[in-house]
Amino acid sequence: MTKVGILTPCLMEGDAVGNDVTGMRDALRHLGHEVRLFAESWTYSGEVHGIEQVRSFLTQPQDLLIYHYSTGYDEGLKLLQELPCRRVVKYHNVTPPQFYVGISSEYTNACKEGRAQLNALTRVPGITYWSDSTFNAEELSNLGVSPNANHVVPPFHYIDEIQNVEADLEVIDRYSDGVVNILMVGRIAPNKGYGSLLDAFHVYHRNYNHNSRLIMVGKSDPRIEKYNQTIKRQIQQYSLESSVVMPGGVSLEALKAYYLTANVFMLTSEHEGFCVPLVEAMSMKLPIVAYGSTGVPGTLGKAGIRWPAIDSALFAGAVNCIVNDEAVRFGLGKLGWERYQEKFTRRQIEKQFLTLVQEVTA
Amino acid sequence: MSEQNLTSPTLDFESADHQASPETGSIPSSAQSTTAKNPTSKPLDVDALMERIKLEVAQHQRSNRRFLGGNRINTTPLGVALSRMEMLLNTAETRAYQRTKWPDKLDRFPINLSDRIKNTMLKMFNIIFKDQQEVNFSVIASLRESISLNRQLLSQLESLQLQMRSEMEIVLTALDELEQPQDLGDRPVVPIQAVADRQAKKERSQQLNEFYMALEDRFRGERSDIYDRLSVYLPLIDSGSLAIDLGCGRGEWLSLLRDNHIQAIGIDASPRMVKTCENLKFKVLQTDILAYMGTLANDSVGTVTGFHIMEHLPFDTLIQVFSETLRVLRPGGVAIFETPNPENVLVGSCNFYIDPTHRNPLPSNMVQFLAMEVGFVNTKIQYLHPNPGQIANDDLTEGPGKQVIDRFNHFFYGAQDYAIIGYKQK
Repeated sequence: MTKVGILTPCLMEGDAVGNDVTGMRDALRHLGHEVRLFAESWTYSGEVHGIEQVRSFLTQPQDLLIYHYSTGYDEGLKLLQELPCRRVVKYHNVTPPQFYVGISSEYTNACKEGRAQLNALTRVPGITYWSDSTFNAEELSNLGVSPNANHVVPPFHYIDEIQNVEADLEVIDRYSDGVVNILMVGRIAPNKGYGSLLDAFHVYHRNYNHNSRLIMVGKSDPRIEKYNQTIKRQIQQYSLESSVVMPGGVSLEALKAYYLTANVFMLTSEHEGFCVPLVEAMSMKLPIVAYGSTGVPGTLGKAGIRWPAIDSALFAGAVNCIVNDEAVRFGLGKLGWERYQEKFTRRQIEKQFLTLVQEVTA
Repeated sequence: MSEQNLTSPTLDFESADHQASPETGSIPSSAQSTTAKNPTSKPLDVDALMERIKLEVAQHQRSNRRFLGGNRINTTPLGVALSRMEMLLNTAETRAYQRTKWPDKLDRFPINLSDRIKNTMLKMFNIIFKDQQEVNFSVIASLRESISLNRQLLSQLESLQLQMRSEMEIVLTALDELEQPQDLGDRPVVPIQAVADRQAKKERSQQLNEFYMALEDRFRGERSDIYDRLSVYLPLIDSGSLAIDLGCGRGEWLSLLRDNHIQAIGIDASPRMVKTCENLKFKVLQTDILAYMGTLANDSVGTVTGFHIMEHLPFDTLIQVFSETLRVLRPGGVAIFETPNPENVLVGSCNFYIDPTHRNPLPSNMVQFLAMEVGFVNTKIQYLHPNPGQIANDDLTEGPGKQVIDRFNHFFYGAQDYAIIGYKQK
């Protein structure tokens, strides 16, 4: 049995980082390891320890620190440099700061620090790196991480839980109304490309099908109110107020209902380390139209329509094709579901993860 | 949707019923499906699908371009609004002058005053409001300037719209040609030949145009005669709304309308005719009739006329002209189309063909039937311009001889032209 500390600066309930961290914890506990979560701040309702307790928990060389890296954090870097135990960086990626310039200086600085610290992180000797995706691993490789220490393991997700809960019937009733539903799931943030998403939906709505709706499920952050307002203005400019739905953050039950009532999943995100919602959509057999930026090609593969650039006309045309052609709809749903089964089930992720843990702890 | 689907969507892949069915808003799959619907068929080829989508989008954009090419700003209501403003300004102007006469309504008991007092009060009134009068005149003058400027802009806008429309057609036609698969190996000179053909066609058209102008000058008749002849239609015209004259020629009808203070626009395909009308300061556009009518809004025009144009048109175009006329006329609006009357044997057998661009004579009963079929109401045929050389039969008594002369006069010296007159249902 090994003592494993999983560290992240901020642990939120239900977001991609939170799901990955708790997923790793559960998998390790199944093997009988003693696992504790450490964070500077958290909203997670389970057991979490303050960062100051890491040093007293991981005291032996055979102990293991997994530092989940998605933002700059001085204390994390310090622990990585100073702890005597085995250390792993789980690289989730850091949003490039340029997305936040002019929107939020707080986010811009945090992303800048995150990117700068990533450099420092890759220079700490004796570290092993686990990346969410090939895209992330390539970034680390470009920073000088050797292939022997650079591995890929997809993040843990809660798709099994989504599949097992009962969908929110109220949401299903509300949106099973004969209108074509186009879904995007992801927090409202500039790197997620909501502006392009609205452009594409506007073209589809205007040129192909007025009887359509865009549902953008994701939390909005008051710290980027400028961006939130930009999106709202764009919706008004396109006169799409009655055709765009922004339910904010939703429960698992509601999330499932949104996936079930959707006809197409559309993603125009400009920066993704991995993109868990793509896997969720694949697991729900939902046809996907996506912009193949950054980590998207690695996750989506050939299981969806992936355009190499954002072209609203092509996105709208693809949605139209999916909506109108049952065979295409069925074929894309099947490809997604097969890719999910092949690569991203919890069992497979757990197996890959535990293999890497074994390699580190051997 | 079943409970089972809600709780375990991945278990029943075949159903895939979380996606909208055709009944819930999706259009049923077309024959262009990339794969068969059978789930056991080979996997979807995403690359081929993306190529298909690119093609479909390109086609869709082309059809959208056509749609956009058809969009236009309807300037008629703007023109009407400007006319209304002009009327208001006229009224304002009559009231803006210095008062030299005591108002009639103040010239009665118990306030009827002596002339001296009236004059004094008028002077005082004019002194007090002198500055105001200057302001009024300045405002009126500036508004008139503004109206004039707006009219110029409207005219330019109309010309631009028409030009854009016709150029859009040329571009789209060229795009159509480009998008046709070209076997350059077999036909290397086709594009060059096409250019040469187009040039030759243009030259032939120019020659024909010049010939036609000369013919018109020779046979059309004096401007003043045409002016007088057309005045027969004036009582039918609503002076308060816009009139459109299709094929306005030298502008005799436009002249008559202007002299009667009726706002009008002339349309003609001939650059020379348009130039003639422009020199006479008529509002006139050089364009195709149907292209122009396509730019007009429904129920926007009071009168549509076409003097001696029907006989130049292919029959299907004539139907379109009638239909478009009915569409653009406001309820109660009138359409007047004049054409040679083939019931006059000399016209039907000979004079009609003096103009080689005439297609075929149009019997009046057929044209009236067409007008009614299109939807005009209260249609009537007005026979016009009998040949003056009728054989006199006034001194003959009723009998076979008089009847023969009457029939002879009717068929040889009867109306040389007729007009179909129809109204849009109120």
